[in-house]
Amino acid sequence: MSIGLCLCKCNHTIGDVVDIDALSDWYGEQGIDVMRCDELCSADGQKELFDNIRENEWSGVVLGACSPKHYETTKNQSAILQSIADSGINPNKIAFANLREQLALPNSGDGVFEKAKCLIDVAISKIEHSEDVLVEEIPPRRSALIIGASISGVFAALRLAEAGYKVHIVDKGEIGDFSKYITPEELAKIDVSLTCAMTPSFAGIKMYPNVVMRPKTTLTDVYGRVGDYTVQLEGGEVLKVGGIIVCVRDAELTSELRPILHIDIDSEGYFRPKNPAFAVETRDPGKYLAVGDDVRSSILAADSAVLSLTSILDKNEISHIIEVSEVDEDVCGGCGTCVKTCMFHATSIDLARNVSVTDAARCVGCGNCVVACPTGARDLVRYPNSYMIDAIRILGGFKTSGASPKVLAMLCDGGGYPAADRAGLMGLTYPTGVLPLRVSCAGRVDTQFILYAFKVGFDGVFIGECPDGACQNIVGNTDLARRANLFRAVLRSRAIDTDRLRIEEISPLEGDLFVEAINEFVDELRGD
Amino acid sequence: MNCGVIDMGEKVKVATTWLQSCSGCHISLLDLHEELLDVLDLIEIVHSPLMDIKEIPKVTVGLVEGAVANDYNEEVLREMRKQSDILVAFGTCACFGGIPGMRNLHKLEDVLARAYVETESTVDGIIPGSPEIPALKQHVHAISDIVKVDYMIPGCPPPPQMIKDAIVALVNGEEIVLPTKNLCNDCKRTHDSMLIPKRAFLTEAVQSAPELDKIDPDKCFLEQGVMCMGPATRTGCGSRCLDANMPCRGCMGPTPDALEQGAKIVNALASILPAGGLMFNEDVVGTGYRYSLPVSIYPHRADDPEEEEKEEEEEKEGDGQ
Repeated sequence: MSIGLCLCKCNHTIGDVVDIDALSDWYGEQGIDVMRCDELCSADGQKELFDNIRENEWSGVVLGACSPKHYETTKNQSAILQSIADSGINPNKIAFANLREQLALPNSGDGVFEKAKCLIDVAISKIEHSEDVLVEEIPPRRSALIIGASISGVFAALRLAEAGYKVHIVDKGEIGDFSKYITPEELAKIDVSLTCAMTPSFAGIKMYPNVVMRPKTTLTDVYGRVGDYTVQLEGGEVLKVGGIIVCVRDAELTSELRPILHIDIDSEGYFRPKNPAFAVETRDPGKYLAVGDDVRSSILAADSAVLSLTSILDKNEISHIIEVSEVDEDVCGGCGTCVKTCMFHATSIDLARNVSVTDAARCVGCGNCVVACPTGARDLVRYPNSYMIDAIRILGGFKTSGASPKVLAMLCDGGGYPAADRAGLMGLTYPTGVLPLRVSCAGRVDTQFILYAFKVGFDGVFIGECPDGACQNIVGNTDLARRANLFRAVLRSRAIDTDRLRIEEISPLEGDLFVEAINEFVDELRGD
Repeated sequence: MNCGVIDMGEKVKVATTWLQSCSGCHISLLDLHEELLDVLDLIEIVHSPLMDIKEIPKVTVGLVEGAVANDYNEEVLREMRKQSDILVAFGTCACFGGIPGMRNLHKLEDVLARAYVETESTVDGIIPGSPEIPALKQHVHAISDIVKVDYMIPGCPPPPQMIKDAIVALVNGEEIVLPTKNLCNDCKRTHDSMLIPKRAFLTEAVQSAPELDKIDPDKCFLEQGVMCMGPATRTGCGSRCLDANMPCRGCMGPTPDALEQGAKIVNALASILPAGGLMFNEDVVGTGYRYSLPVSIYPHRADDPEEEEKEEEEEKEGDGQ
């Protein structure tokens, strides 16, 4: 296997802090193909990357650049990922060293170069320890579920119906009552022509034969992937749709729907987009949000959600990365711990063979069952156990200067990791001895990893997780808390001060909270 | 049957020894009863604590019972390794450190002080320092910490049949193959509640030890609120404890995919309350690491010094077969 390393200077942002040329020489001497560019997100940078992949026949690539979060939540960067995958590199063989948000921006001075090497070594290790992930192609269903017959819901249904989609619109109450969604004060404020547009529109959806109105309907289960969702209604009826648009802005209803839809919520308890800049997109590319503050913005949101959804469902085929939890059937004894652990009902025991099996349509790849599995039979395709242990070993090899503590910061995908990115972008700083390791969820934090971190010489282990009630995998943070509560007895038995393990709840945009918490932890470890 | 005609030339030479242990694994070998005769048709035991032969001759198979807790244990172990073509960790103490390994939860100086000075029945106690008494090692070790080990037969003790099967395999030039699944795989109890994807599943109060006679012998212990190490323990023991309506204590050690037993049972049970609550009622460390502390990721106290290096690595390499 040939792994290529692409180092981006991000113009001066990374280049002025980390000696990219020296890094390039170092890895070149290790026999790794290295390319350097000033700006990977520019057309020139990308061309160079794809030329390199093709000419050197890379089967894996490490992007030493900005945060992987950019690649997962923005348009240009996700296009880069797609192009890398199209050039024949398996998505699981693309790894990131976050040299910008989590190194060049928050750190400076001694140790930055060595830390850059650690972060790149971890990314190389991830590729070496990861199996290819399965990519499946399916023809999408040209149908959609609209949840909430609000203004945006009704308009989304109209647009989809006009485009020839089969639409199911569900609401807990009646459908077609415009006045329910607008106060008299608001009504008085808006242009009369808008009012005239609304009432007939609400009435109009009844005219479309491909719109099925389902008033007084409650959802009981939703699973599947973009292009192919299964929706169960109370009473047992099952719908098959290609996409889902959520038009609900009610905190109580949101909390009812959240365990069914698995869409993240914000601190006020409303569904939130994966990136604040793209207001309708969620973590799941088949589920969209369409809510507005008033009539006009509701309609705009509906249009945006419909356009986003149909641009995917209009394709003949869409590909899915099947990043599930896998089972070593030689080791699994069918105890059922994973069945009890999974909030997504993705695990069950095949009674005929007495082994655990994973339902790929339900598994979100959070890794909670992998941690829970008492035998180690389960492993996560995206963050395998052997990689996690090796990453902790590599980061543990970092030498801090003088009495400066060394901290392993395991940061969850939903809260801690984006918050650390945010801290970098906010210009906040913390010591270089804080070594970040991305984890899919707090529920992926195995107590074995914590013990191993202390074994390899970390002074402290910091876990940044989603706030209580906002875990993107519902119970990852709760489960970590329960595990840690028991595990502290293990630390005490080894004479390891339990204060050396710190678990902090951080929302994705709370960069300042992250820095405050990590600096306080470092100071405490130092004994200040 | 060969009617007692012994062909010494064809028998495989075997040596056995015990280090820091209770001799239970050797007793389990003897518990083969009449079947021991079948085994003795295949092997000749040329050195054993059951006999009185001081030197360890060259043998094909060496069976080592017990953990390494003092310098003498280490010396005997190294001699066994040197003299054996195939070295087998015989029983849980040799494989994982076992019960003696729990000593690692205490500092060596505290252990000595407790044993020789502080015990209630001791008057004017002193810690012995004679060079004739083997010094305790800083920590208790599984034998694989010291020498290369070819096979292991876990169990406290290993069931007689498992010992026989292992010996027969080696005599036939085959590998010792251990089961890789956890004990739940062989547990005959029903575990319907464990298979329902719903977190809380205990409806009745956790039973306390005096209520052990109330345990349903046909139902999963965890479902009844009784702490059982079965999920985090390798199967192969023949589920003797379960059959006697006693929960698993974990003596077969972790499954091969787990890094360690203690942290794994915490991961597994903490989140599926109130099963996790069971562990709070117990001694978490004693339950999770009862048999395998010396092979834990963190096998001793942080405030205890590391074992003094004695060119061990080199010898371990050199002994590789």
